[in-house]
Amino acid sequence: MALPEEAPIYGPFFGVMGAAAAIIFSALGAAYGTAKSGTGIAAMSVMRPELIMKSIIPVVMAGIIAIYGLVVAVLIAGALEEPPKYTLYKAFIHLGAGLAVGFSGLAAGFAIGIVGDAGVRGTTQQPRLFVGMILILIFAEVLGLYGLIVAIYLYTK
Amino acid sequence: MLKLYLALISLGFATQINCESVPAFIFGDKTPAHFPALEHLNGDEFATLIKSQATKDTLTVVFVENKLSVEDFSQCRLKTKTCFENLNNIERKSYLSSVAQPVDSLMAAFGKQKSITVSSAEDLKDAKVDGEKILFVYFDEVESAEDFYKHDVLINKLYNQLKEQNENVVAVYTGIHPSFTYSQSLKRKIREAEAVPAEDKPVHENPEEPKPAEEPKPAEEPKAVEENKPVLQKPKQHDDAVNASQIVLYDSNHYALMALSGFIVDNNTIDVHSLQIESTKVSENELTVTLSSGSHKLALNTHMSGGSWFVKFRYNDNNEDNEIYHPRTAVYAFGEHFSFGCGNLIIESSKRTHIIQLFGFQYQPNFNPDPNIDVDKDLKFSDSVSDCVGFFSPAIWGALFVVILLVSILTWGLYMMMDIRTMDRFDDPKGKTITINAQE
Repeated sequence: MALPEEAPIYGPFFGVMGAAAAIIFSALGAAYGTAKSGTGIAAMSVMRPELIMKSIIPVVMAGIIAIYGLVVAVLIAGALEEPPKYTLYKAFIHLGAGLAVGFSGLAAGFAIGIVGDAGVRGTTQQPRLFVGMILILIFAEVLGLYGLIVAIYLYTK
Repeated sequence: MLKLYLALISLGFATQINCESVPAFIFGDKTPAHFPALEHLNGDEFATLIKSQATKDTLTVVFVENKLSVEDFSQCRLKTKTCFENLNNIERKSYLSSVAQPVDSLMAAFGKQKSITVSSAEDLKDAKVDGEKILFVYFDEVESAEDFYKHDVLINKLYNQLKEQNENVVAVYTGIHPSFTYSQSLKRKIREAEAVPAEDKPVHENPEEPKPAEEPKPAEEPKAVEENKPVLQKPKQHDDAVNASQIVLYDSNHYALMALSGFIVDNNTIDVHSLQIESTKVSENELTVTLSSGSHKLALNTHMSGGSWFVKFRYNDNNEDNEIYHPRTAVYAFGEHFSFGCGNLIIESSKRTHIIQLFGFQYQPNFNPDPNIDVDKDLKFSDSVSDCVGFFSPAIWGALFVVILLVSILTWGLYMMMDIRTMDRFDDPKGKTITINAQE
């Protein structure tokens, strides 16, 4: 069956790549954040075990990044269809949405990891650093949120 | 006169940016020593090489096929054995897989030359030289593996015959055109194919020689005279129609399948539903498919040669001023079961007086249709379509870009991940606890 030019057979490739990129790269960022701050927590918990639960916060924030990516990936996957109904326009939009949340989630995860590691280690020595660490972590997290906003906005086009 | 034709032909060849190359076999008394396997030689180098094999009394005989390719040597098979048995049995031979314009450069390089055309064993009796240093032996057009086999036998006979007459003989087996071309520019290929029959014979003939007997193929009577009813198929019944305005036409002989969504001649739109299609098989390799509606008649003469087919157009039998109608994109495809579909086809007359536009055009000729085919279910365009995309189409570029982008991001992410170091400071549980500073 001959497909129209605006909905070619390779259209879904771009859409699926968008969904994959969304979850893959945000998971990568979350993994980095978790691992890096995890080493910091493990290091400092030897000295001050009572601060462990307070120090879990960077790990939680890294996990939220992965949730952003999951949401966008599920949304895109729900909108995938077969070629005549799935135009190349939609495919490119989905690709863009996935890349937006994925790559910004990756960046946010990297930031959270490094800030969490350093902050957690510093908090053991100077407890007044805790509030500052949280503020910095929020700014790092919000990068992923910007990516999510752009992705959702693109998706609704 | 000969030199003028030669100059024109070599100019025609020289203006092609992408030179065609043919393989060449060299055998005889002195064969060139060693050659890198896939080296390309241009004409002058080849001529110099051949001349270097020749001494004062060496006869060089060049066996020339009209079309020869590397694939012919490797793929030609007659009942599991290769067609070129005699060539295979020669022990000392050299093979050059790509030479550009060997025949022309040899003609230019040697002085006295003689040409003969050989189509059967009787012609071999004319093969004598007196004083000329080079003899060109032309064969007929090859249509099947058996023709190659016959030519191989003739080559063997003639070579042995010449060896009896002369002591030193160097033989070259090559061609003028390759059998298969993969030219980028479609237009160039078609013009070449048209140019060859007209100018080939006067150039390569020595004026003293008698003209070789050229037998054109006898035109067969059109077969289905009684039932040439054109058939029109509605779009919803046939799967191949792309949109509602495209119709799919096939003729009663099933020689041609054509899809069309618009037909405009000189700004007169012709209703596609009024089009009728007929076809006749002129010969084994030629079909004529005619699209007509009222006074407008567009004929597609489809020729098959060397496994690929191409189309020449005639409008109203070229009645007005004998103008030649050329399509802007040459209509051809690589194989017998390929169809051609390039979107919109625009055909112009040579003086630009008439323009015919075919929208949403797709065409597939069928030289050997299956008579038992079920028209509603099985008559479809084949999956192989010769469309106008080259090696890199925009879709391919887009996909490549996306993949490279994603892979590079992934690589960077993985690199950062590998950079994480875990602390091994506390792996010794019995060691004393020490303070940590923030730098670790």
